[in-house]
Amino acid sequence: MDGALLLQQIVNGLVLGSSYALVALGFTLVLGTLDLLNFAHGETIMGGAFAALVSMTVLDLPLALTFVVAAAVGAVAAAVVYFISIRYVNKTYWAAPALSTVGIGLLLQTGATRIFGTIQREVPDPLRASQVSLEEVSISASQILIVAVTLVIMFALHLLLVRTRIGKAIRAVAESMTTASLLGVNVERTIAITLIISGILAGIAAVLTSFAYTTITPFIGLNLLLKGMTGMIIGGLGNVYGAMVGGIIVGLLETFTVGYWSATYQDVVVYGVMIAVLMFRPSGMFGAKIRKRA
Amino acid sequence: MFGAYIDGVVIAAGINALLGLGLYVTVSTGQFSVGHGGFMAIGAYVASILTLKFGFSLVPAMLVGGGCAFVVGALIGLPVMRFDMIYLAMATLGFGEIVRSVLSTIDYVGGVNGLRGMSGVTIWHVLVTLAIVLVLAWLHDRSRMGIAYSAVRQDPDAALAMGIDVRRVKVGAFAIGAGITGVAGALYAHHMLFIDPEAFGFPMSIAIVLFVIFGGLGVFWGPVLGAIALTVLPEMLHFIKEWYLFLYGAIYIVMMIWRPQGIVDRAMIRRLSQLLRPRSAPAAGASR
Repeated sequence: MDGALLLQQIVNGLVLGSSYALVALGFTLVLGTLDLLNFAHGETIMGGAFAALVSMTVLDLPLALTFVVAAAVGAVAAAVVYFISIRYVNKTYWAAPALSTVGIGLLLQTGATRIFGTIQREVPDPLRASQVSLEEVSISASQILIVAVTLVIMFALHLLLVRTRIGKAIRAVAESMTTASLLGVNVERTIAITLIISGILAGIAAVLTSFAYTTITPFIGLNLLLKGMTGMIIGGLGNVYGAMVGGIIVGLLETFTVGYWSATYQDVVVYGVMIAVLMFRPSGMFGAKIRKRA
Repeated sequence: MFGAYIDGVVIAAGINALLGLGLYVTVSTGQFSVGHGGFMAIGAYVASILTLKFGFSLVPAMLVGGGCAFVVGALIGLPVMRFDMIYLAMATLGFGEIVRSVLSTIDYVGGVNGLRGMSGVTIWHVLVTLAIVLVLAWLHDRSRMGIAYSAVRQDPDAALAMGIDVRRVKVGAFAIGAGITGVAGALYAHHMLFIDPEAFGFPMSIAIVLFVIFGGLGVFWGPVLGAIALTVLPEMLHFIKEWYLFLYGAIYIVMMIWRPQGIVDRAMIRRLSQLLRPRSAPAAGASR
C-alpha cells in the first residue's frame, strides 16, 4: 500500500466530501423541518452550477461574485419550490409536496438541456494552477478553497442554528410544527426561510462541486441528490451535524473506490452503502432527528 | 393492424398501461415506490438475453423476465415493508439507481452500450398481455385479497389487528407489481429494439409514478387511463414530443396543486357508477 497514494486519496476524498456535505446539509435541513424530500435539490445545484459557469465565462465575474450569483440562483430556485410545492400545493395529500418537487426538478433539467445542450461543459477553475506540495501530497489551491469554504459555511450554519432567533425557530419547527406555532413562531415564514437557506447552501455547493468535478452537464442533478441523500442517511436523517460527517464519508468512499478499484464502480459502491445503511442502521451514525409520522 | 405508426403508439400505450398497473399493485398497499424502473430493467434485460443469446421466443422470455423481476421484488419487499414513507422512497430510489449502475458495469449485457437486436413485439402481444393483467386486476379487486390490500393501505395496524397478514400482503404486492413491471420491461425491450441502463433510471421510474398519479389511485384502471393519456398526448402535440419530460414535470406540478388524487378518484367512480346503474328508488337519506 503506497502511503503517498493513500494520503492523496484521503485529501481528494475530503475535498469531494466537503462539497457533498454541503449538498447533504441543504437536503437535511428541509427534510428535518418539513418532512419533505426535496427532489428538486439536485437540479437546484445544477442550476447554480450553470449560473456559476455563465458568471465565470460569459460575464467574467471574479470568484467571490460567482459564489454570490450561484447562491442567489439557488435561493431563487428554493423560493420557487416553496411557492409551488409548499405554499400553493393541495395539502390534503401527504405526498403532494414531494411529488411537486419532482416536477420542478424535471422542468429545471429539461430547461437546462434546452438552453445548454447535453455536452459536458468544462468549468474554468481560476485557482487550479497553483498547487501546494506537502511532502508527497499535492493539493491545489481550489481544493483548499473547497474545504475552507465548507468549514466556514458549516460553522456559520451552526452559529445560525444555535445563536440566532431564526435558528431557534427552525429548530422548533423541526421538533414540532404545532408546538412551535403555539409558542408564537411564524411557521410559514420559518419554512420559507429554511428553504431559502437550503437554496443558498445548494448554490455554494454548486460552485464547489463544479470545481471538484471539473465538468458539468444538465444531468448532474440526480447524482448529486443521491450522494447528498446517502450522506444524510449515513449521518442520520434530519441530523444537521450528521449530514456534515456523512457527506465527507461519501466523498471518501467515492474517491477510494476510484483509486483502489475502478471508476466504473464508484456509483455502485455509494448507492450500495446507502441501501446497506438503510437496511441495517436506518437511524444512521448519529441518530435520526425526524418527527415520527403518525 | 392499423398501420405502423398507430400500431407503435398503441403498443407504447399498452406497455405504459402495464407499467402503470405494475406500480399500482404495489402502491395500492400504501408502499410508494419510486424505483420501479429497476424491475422494468430486470425484466427487459433477462428477456433480451434469453432471446438474443439463447434463442428463446418472445413469450417465454417475457415470462421468465417477469419471473426474475418478481423474485427481486420479493427480495426488496421483505426488508422495506417495515419502512415508513420517507425511508421507502429513498430505499426504492436507491434500488432503481443501483440496478441501473450495476447493469452499466456488466459487460455481458453490454455495459453502458446496452443491448440491441431484440424484436418481435406485435400489437397482439401487448393487447393480450394487458387484457390478461386487467382481468386479473379486476378479479383481485373484488376478492378478499383486494380488500386486504386496501386495508393495509389505509391502516396497517388495524389490518394487523383484524388478522390480515400484513407482511404477506406487502411483500406480495411488491413482488406482483415487480413481476408485471418486468413483463412490461421485456415487451419494452423488444419493441424499442435497443435498451441501455440509462433508459430505466429515475426518469423512467417517475414517469411510471406519473401514470399512476395522473390517472388516479382510486381504482386499478385509473393508472391505465393515465398511462394511455400520457402516451398519446405527446404524440398528438408534435412540437412537444422531445419535451415530453418537460410536459410530465408540468403535469406533476399542476396535478399536485389542482387534483393530487388523480383524474379518476373515488368521487368520480361513484358518479360513474351512478350513471351506469339503472335508476332505482333513492336510498333513505341519499343526497345529491
